[in-house]
Amino acid sequence: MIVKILTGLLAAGALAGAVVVADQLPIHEPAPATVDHLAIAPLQQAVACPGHLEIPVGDISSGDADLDSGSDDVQFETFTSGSNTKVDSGFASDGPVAASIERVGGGDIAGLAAVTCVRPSMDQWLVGGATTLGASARLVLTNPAEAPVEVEVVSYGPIGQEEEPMVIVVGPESQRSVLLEGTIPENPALTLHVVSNGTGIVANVQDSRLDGFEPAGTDWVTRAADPGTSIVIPAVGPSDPSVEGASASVSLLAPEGANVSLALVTDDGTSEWPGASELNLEPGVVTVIQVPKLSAGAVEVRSDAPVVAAGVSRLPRESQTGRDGSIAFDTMWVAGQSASDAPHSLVAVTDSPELSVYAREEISLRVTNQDGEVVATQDIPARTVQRVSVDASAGDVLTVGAGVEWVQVVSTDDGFVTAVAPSDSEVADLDVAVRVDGYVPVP
Amino acid sequence: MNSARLIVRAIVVTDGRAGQLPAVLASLAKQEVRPDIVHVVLVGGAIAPLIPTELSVDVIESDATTYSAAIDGVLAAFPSHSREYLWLLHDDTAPLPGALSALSATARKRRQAAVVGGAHVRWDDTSKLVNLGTSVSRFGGRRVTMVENDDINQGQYDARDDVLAVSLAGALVRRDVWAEFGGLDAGFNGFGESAQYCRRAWMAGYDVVIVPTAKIRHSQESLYGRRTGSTRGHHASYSNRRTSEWFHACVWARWWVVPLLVLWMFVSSLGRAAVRIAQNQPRMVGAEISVPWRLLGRTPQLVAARRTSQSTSRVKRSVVRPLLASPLAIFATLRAREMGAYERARAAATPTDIVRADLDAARRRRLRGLFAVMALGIVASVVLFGTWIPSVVAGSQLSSRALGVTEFGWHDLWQRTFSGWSDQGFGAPTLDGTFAALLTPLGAMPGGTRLWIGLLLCFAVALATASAWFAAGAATRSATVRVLVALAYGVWPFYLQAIGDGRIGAVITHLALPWFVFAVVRAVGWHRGELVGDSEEFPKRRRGSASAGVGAAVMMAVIAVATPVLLVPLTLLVLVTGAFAGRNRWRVWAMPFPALVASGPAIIAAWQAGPFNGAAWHVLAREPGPSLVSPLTRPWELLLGFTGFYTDVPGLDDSGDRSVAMVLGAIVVAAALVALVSRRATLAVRLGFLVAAVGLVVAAAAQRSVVTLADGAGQADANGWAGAGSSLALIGLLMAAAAASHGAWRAGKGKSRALRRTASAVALAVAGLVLVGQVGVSSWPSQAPQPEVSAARADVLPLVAGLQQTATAQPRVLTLSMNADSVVSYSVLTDDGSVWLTGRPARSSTGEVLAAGGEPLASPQSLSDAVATLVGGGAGADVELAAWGIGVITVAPDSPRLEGALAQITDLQLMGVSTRGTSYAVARPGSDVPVSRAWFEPADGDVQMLDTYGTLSHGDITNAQGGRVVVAVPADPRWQASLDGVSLAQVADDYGRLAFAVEADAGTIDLDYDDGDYSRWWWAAAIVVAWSLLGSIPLNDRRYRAVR
Repeated sequence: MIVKILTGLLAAGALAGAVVVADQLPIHEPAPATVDHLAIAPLQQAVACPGHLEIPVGDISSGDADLDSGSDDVQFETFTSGSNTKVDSGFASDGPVAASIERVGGGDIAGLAAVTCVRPSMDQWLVGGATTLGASARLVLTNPAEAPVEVEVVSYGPIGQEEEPMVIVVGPESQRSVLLEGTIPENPALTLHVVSNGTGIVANVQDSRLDGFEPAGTDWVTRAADPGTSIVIPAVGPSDPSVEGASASVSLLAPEGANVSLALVTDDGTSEWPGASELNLEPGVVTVIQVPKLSAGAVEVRSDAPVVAAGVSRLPRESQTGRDGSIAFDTMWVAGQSASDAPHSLVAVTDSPELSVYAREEISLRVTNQDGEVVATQDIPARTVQRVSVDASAGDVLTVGAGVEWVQVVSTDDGFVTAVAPSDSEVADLDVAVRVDGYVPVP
Repeated sequence: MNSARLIVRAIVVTDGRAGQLPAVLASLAKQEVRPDIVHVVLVGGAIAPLIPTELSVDVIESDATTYSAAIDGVLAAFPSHSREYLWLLHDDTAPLPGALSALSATARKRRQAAVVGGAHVRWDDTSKLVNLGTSVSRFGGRRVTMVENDDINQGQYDARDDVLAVSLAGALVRRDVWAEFGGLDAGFNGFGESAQYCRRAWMAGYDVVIVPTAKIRHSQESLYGRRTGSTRGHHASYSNRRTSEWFHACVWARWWVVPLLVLWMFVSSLGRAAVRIAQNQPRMVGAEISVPWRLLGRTPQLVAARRTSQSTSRVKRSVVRPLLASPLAIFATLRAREMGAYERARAAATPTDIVRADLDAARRRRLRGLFAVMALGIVASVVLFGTWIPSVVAGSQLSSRALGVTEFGWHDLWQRTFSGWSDQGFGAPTLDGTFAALLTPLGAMPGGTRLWIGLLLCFAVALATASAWFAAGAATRSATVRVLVALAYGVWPFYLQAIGDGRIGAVITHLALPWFVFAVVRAVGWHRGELVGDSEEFPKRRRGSASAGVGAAVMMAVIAVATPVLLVPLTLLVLVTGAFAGRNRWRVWAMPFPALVASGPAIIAAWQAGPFNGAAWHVLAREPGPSLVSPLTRPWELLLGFTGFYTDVPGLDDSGDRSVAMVLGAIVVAAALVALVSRRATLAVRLGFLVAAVGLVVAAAAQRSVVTLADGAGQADANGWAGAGSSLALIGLLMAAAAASHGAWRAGKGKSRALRRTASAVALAVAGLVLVGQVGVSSWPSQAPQPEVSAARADVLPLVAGLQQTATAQPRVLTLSMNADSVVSYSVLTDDGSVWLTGRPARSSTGEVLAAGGEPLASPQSLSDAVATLVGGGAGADVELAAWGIGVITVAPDSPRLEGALAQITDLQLMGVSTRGTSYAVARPGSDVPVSRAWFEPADGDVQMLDTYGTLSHGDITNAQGGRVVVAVPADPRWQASLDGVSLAQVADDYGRLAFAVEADAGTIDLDYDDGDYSRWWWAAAIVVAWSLLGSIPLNDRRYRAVR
């Protein structure tokens, strides 16, 4: 009996002991599966431009030349550092930078529109355009590559994200254009998120406005900086502050929502922007803020979560078709830029180009041309925007070092305006995350 | 009729080693008709016996070495008389009174009879027959006795006279015939000489007659090996007797039949050896195997015996033919022997009528219980994993990232286990292939691995329930307890999680453990008898079974292969258990042998790595099959079966949900504690607790260590699965509870018994409810996470890619897929999907393949870079891919970004687009020859492809001025290549691939992987396991004890 009790206690003790001993065993946690992040130089792709402006309703002849939608007064010029190939109505260039500028003297889309050619991207944002009455937004997708690309376009507006994304397949070395008013009508402030597979796509929106019979401006909406927390729109407002009737606004979108503060930057520094210092952006809602004091300036956008932004300036000009004194407009879209640590370049689309340059820190600006000659220098105080005149001719490739956000602002004597953004002449490395894993069927 | 007097010369030959000689001489003295002359021949220095006074005996000392020579020695000294008969007696044959008168009466009547023999009866019981004439089979050499051993002599055979052969011991032999034949033929070594002599007599035109009324006691000292001091009984002389039977056959067969007989003899000895293994008579295996060799050793005697036999043959063979045993007669003899043995065994165990009624009632309870367990087990399977069943039946496969695909060929398993080379990733040498060997039977059955692994997982719960039912039967005869124990075992949370995760190893172990316990208990004879009458067990004494012992060894090997972590703890537990097993202890202690042999290479690797440190533990705790990260739990939670996964039960908070997951475990622990307190089944309960304690420590130790390391082929780091240890702990607790419950229902009396029964009934009902609740909770949709395993289509890769894999070029396939976070997953496949079930090569704790001697294996270091390049649409990845034999890239469905990227790459050629993915062919840079596994690179000229089949590569090379053979696997010295039979030297390769230098112009290349150490271990394990499998067949060897 004693033996039974003793062995019984021993047995129970063994189990209890096992619990205690097991708890003392050291713990080794398995390492999580490794994912390799690799930066690779992607296939060198050509830069591409959308090409000619088009009249949304087509070239309608009314019998009265003043009321015709089209115009005979069209000048289209391309500039490239390499050689161009046609991609439908657009073109691609094998040089690192290229641009086009087009002046439509009359008709519905009278205006000046310049665009810098860019490399295809798989993920890009276009901020700008509208599909309300009197506005037309033509999305132009240019695929300079040899393989078809499937593009998914998600559109946003003041009431948020449209439910159904558009899916557009663009054939190899071809172009597709879509009038967005046909699919997304009555959207007063468009923002498009263009995602594609394969080698990506070059996307632009032709924003054309009409005020009755008066053209109210046409310009290309170009690729905005990827969502970031510090965006600068380096040019808003007219060069001449005395212009009456000019207006400018900033369009903002935070995909996940954000608190944003805006600051108006002039050549003196930043100035107060009542009501825009603390803005709450709803996720996916496009918010348009009017720029209050109009003179040549820039806009700083700082936020606690990524946002995309662009500014539009709408400048009056004398109407050539209507009665005397009637006003027409031209628009200038300038996409937001984020701080970059690489030099950027553009092709000057006019002789003696004028640059609008913003600097985060005080900087001594040096503009060089394609031969490496310094063609302009200027000190830019911190958080100011300066107009810089450059001694160069149309077609010169102008390069500015890192640390500034800038555009070439083009304005003609007859009141047309447009802007040309610089592009990163270096091909950015692509970050690819890869991991080895089993391959089993998905149910 | 001539009644002329016979002269009978009795000759007793003794070697002094039989104690019966005085009795023999005394029996001669008691004969009514005494022999005329009695000689006692002392051979081998035997001491002269005491001679009865009434007998006059001529004692002769002889230095003859054989019985025949001893007789001849006597005859040479005494001239022959007319009608003289020799009465040949051994020192262990004593004629009963009247034997000689009966024999000589017949001899007088049958003058043609060369031999007149008597009936041999048992020495100690003269009513039992030993021999009443023998025959041999018409074909082959089987000796057929014409009476069953130990048949009671009731005079039923008294009419028998002419037979093929009688025993010469105690027989009257005509001296003239003896002289004509030259005595007995050499080569029989004491067995079968009589049959040979008698057959010669028939063939010489004489008769051989048996006289059933002449009885001779025969103690068969030689047959039972007592002369040589053997204690093995009739087994001692077996191989000698068996050889003599074949010798006899060869003597009498026509000359051209002899080679066939020899061949047949070899085949027969192997077959008989297999049966001996099944009978667990290992020493008899040697005896059976030795028979043909012994016969070959007697070839000179055989030639002599054939010559002498032919020289005396005067009649046709057809004279003897009717006396030979036909196949039908042999069958009848065997049947009579088996039936007799069976009836004797049955008669010995027949219970009384009262007991029989109790047993009938118990059988009905048992059947009801079994039916309930099967039904409930199947219902639980369907409720828990029923969604898989229709898919598996309809041709889908079960797969998951840990399980891999289950649709692959049995030859993959076979090749993995037989060659020792693993095809996972870019290939690796391996320590062992036992896991693949374990699954090979599943793959070899119709339907293959897909169906049988699918069904195994679908019905795993039902199978575990059934297994536990039988195991519980060894511990308790209460059907209710058995049902509950079986269900608790079948729905144990760790087991359900293992099924859901596709951890095949843990599932197999959970199924095998009950059978292991069952077999151990049976081997020792600890199993319970059915309760009859007043709490008596029937049968009262239960023998241990050798077959069960070997069966336990097989099960232990299965467990050690499926979950190597249990090898050491089970070995320790078996050693402890053996100490309590009394005379069966060696049977228990021998059980780990097959498991240790099968795990031999790993044990050695662990010893070399440690032996007592973390590195050794890493080897011992390895998981060769599916391995997956599992959450950490506290040891007490482990004891209660808490896996870390649980169901969100509506209305309960988190701690409530966790508690619900532990209720079943709590009930099991409580039952075991009650068993301990009850002081019933002392040994079983204490051993059960020990098993549980060991299992718990193993479970916790496994869970807290990283046992699987990333292998570059898709396996991520994983900690050990606690399920194997938990199954062991569970079976220990259940064993304790079940053993203590045995007979509890009948214990006590009066009021206390009623109280006890009420309490038991309530406790059992609660346990039943908990079990139902466990199934309900486990199948609840909010169970998190849902099972990893899911049913999916059986083909994984697009057909074009699969066809490439099966071609003799055997290019590898690189699969690419992109998840929602834009992370690209890639995999290098040699099969239709990732196959993990062939077993992962064991790795050291630092990640090197153990079989490669701790050196890191070469692999494409920049494969990630190559994949990234492909993803970016960049060029140049094809060099790396082709160098490692990747000939096809398949982009998973729904990865349009990847498709677009690859479409840009002009080096890739689109092969086809399908719902299984988009495939691209990789071209060999600078050549039109397709990418292959093995190829020849001439010093000058285009690449020449070699055909590859598994690890074999083969091909003809032409027009080369030297060059090298390259195989897209990591270099390893165990690969051998030859050109026209001349072996080639391995050379270094920039990529670390396998390469051989070739200096000739042309020839045939042959290449294979050959690991001698691996093969030796493989064959050792195969032989031991095959032996054990045969030995575990429950043939009742006792039936053969009295025969032969």
